[in-house]
Amino acid sequence: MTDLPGEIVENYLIESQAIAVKMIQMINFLDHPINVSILIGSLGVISRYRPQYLSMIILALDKFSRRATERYSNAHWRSICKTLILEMCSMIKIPDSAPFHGRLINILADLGAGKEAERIRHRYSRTFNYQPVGTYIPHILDITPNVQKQLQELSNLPLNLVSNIVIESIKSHQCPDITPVPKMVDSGLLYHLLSVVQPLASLPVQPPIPLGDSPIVKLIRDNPLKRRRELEEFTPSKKRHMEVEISMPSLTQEDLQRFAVQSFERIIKEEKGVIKEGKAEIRKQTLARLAKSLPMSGEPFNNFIEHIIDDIDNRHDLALKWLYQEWINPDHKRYHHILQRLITAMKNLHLIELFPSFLIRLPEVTEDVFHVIDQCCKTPSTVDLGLNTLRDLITLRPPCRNQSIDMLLEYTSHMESSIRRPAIILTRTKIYSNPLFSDRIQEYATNLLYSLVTEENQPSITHEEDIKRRLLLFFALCSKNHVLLNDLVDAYIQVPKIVKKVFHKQSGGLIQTIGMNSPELLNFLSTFPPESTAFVLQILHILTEDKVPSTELIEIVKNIYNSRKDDKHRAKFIIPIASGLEKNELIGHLPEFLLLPANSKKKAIQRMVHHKPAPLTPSELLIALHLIETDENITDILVVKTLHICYNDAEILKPEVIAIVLQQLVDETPIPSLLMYTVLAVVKQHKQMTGFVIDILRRLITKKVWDNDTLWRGFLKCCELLLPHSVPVLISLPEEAFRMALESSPSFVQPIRNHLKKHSNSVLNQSKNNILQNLGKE
Amino acid sequence: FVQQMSEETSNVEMKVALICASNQNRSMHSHWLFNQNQIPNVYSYGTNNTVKLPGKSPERPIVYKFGTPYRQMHDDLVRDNEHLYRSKGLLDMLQRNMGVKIAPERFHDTPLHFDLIITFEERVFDIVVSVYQQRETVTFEPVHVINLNTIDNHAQAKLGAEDALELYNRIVKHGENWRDHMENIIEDFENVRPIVYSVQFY
Repeated sequence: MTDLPGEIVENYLIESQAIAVKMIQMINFLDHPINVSILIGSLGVISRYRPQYLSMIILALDKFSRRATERYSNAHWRSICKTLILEMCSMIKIPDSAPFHGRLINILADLGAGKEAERIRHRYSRTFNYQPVGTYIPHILDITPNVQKQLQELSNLPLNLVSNIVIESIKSHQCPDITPVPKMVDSGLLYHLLSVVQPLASLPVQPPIPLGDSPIVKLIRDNPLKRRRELEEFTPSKKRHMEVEISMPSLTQEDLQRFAVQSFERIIKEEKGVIKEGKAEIRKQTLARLAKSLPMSGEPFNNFIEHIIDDIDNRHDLALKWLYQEWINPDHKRYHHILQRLITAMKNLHLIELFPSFLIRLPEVTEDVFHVIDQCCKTPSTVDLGLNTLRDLITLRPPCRNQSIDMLLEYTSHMESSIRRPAIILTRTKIYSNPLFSDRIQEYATNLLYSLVTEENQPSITHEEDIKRRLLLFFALCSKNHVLLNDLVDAYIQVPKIVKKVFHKQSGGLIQTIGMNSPELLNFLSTFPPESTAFVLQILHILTEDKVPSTELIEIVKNIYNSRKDDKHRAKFIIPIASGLEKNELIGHLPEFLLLPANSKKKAIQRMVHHKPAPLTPSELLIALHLIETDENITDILVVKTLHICYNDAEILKPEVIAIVLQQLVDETPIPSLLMYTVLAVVKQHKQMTGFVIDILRRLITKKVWDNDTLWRGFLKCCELLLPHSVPVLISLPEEAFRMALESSPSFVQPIRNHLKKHSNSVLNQSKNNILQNLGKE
Repeated sequence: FVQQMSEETSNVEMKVALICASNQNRSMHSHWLFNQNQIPNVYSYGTNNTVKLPGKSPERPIVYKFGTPYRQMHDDLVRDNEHLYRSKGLLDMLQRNMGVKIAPERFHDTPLHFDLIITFEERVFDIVVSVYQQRETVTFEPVHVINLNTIDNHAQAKLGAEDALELYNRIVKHGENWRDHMENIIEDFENVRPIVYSVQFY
């Protein structure tokens, strides 16, 4: 899985350096003032990300600010000046700019922002509390008999350097007109020397300088130790130019190793100080290249890795440099090892932002990395880390794309919903919308979906979670790309019943997301295959839940309804759009609703009166039910059953509702025969309506209730229930009816007799009395 | 101060942000004025950490969090000392603000990408520019940030708003390629009010 070969990386680095340099020089050639201010902004960006160019940039800006006043008009110069000030103030805040602060402040003062600059510098220098780790100030000319010890103190410098320093200092000791190296070498010089170390380290040891014939030289040649002591006492003559042979005492391999390692470790420790001096880049480069020679099993190697992991937020750049250096070597064993350790640490620290951005910048993303990502994704606690990383790899690192997408897709069909869900969400929201990937994702999802369609030999899949995992990705894609609905339903038709159930259960969210305004959905509804009727009905119900259906939807559904003349259950389609129909229209469908199975009837009633908004009031519904014309299909019993369903609903069987219903129905001609059924239902439920019902009974008498068998029976039953309040009603019956009543219900006799006894004066009652007595005789 | 816009410029889809410190006076006056002139895609923000209204004394301003509705601020002030705040013009200002949007918004929190930003104070300008400096550039869409120094009182806010509108109209006159003409627009605008600008990227 290699992405970029070493040379290309190196070339790229060199080229980008060239570009940066060009940009910095461009500032002298631009005329257009807006472009100039954009360029100044860009230089600010470069200075933040590549502090090694700071000196070049500041130099260029300095030159520019001096010369630019004349080039631009007042209006533009003011803005360019402002941009310069803002960018340079932000440069003061960069840690690497510490050595340039003086210069920056001068430029800013010239531009008129001196105070501001001072303030910022003051605020930011306080954040750097620098304590040097240890003061290694080797007294180079201190020569003691124990040379080894001396050399240990000098060991923070590579050997070549030491030799050069010694030569220099001896030279200056003899010839003061050459600029002397100070006796005590301070840390500033050390760091400066460190910066030239890199090219020197690869040079071979300088050959000794040829000898002259002076007595001093002879002295040196004969007796090494003695030579040096005498050299100290020797007072230099100003004119003499001395050539010296220096031979360093021999050091063993172990000593060299040790010095190298110790110097390496000191560089590691001196992090803060180096940053303050503005040499962070150099330190990182040095460490990266020096670390290449550390043996993998050794302590320094491990210490270095530990050092990086300790503060990985700030040291990841160092880690990357090191990895690049290691990767240049074609045997990638070390690279693999280091990478493995670093990413494991990052994963354990759950560095959700750093982990992906680190991986993207690697020279090579190895199989180990994918293995770690895989572990992350399969553990619920680190799923977010893993998925974030996959997302970034897919979008930002083309060579890793295919493998990453394949991994992601695998997770979208995982059995564990805690892994599957975030994977599907990521795919749907961020990846699917990208045209580069949508085909692949769709293909995968479609294959999953159709795996549910069982062939004859394959066993059917029965576990719900297993079914869900094959469906949910497709559902998610469908919610973004509505045209997939057709494929979805095509699969639906072919899957076994148990899978269909899961379809129904899971489709709520999908349908609500698609919504009734989607043209693809409406298209689908106009042309759906008949085997998917159940699914379509569910879709319609979800779409219209608590919503008024749109006119397009109503039209389409009506078309469906009209095209199914032979389907005796076609009224099912009307139910979801009930709230969008006119009252009369809806009432016209009532007979059809009655013929539907109980479940659908209940749904229908629910939709008609309980929906928000409800197309019918409960009283309107009841009145309509009572007034339905019965025929061979729509029997009385059917209507009664429906009324029964209604009266089980407390919202419908409310006193106010029934009052309206009864009032209207008694006025009808002819009176609906099921009226008494309703009256009885109310009487049983609401005792407080007794008075009202008595009234109704009286009205019924005026309308000759005894002429209708059903009504008469109900009437009598009602009177029975309402004894003794119903006695006055019974007494007001005409004679013939009165007698019939008495004959049919013996229970009336006694209460009536009691009543008549009390009110024996009334003439009206006289006749009733007679009848009663006659009855007794018979 | 209603200007008719010519037909050609109605195609220009430019998102404008008007920014001051507390999203109360200067930016809201402009926002209101832009709305009066039917200019689409106008937004306003503040750059402070909190919304400050002048209180009974200059050392004790009234402080609210961004997102507190103008209505609530208005009702609080009425309850506290209606006469005083009415005389300061605060109640009228809040009333006007209520008609424009619900509550003050903070610039740092918006995810929207603008084409033009007008700030009304140099400090605000600095803050807006520093927001862009700290962000990593992703899409490279440019935004022109222009500062019109305006003193924070009602009279100056009105003048600042009018100048902002004038600047907007001058820019929009050039249609789709208004960015190519910015150099001259800025040059010419010097006669109306001295400005400072910067170009930042998303």
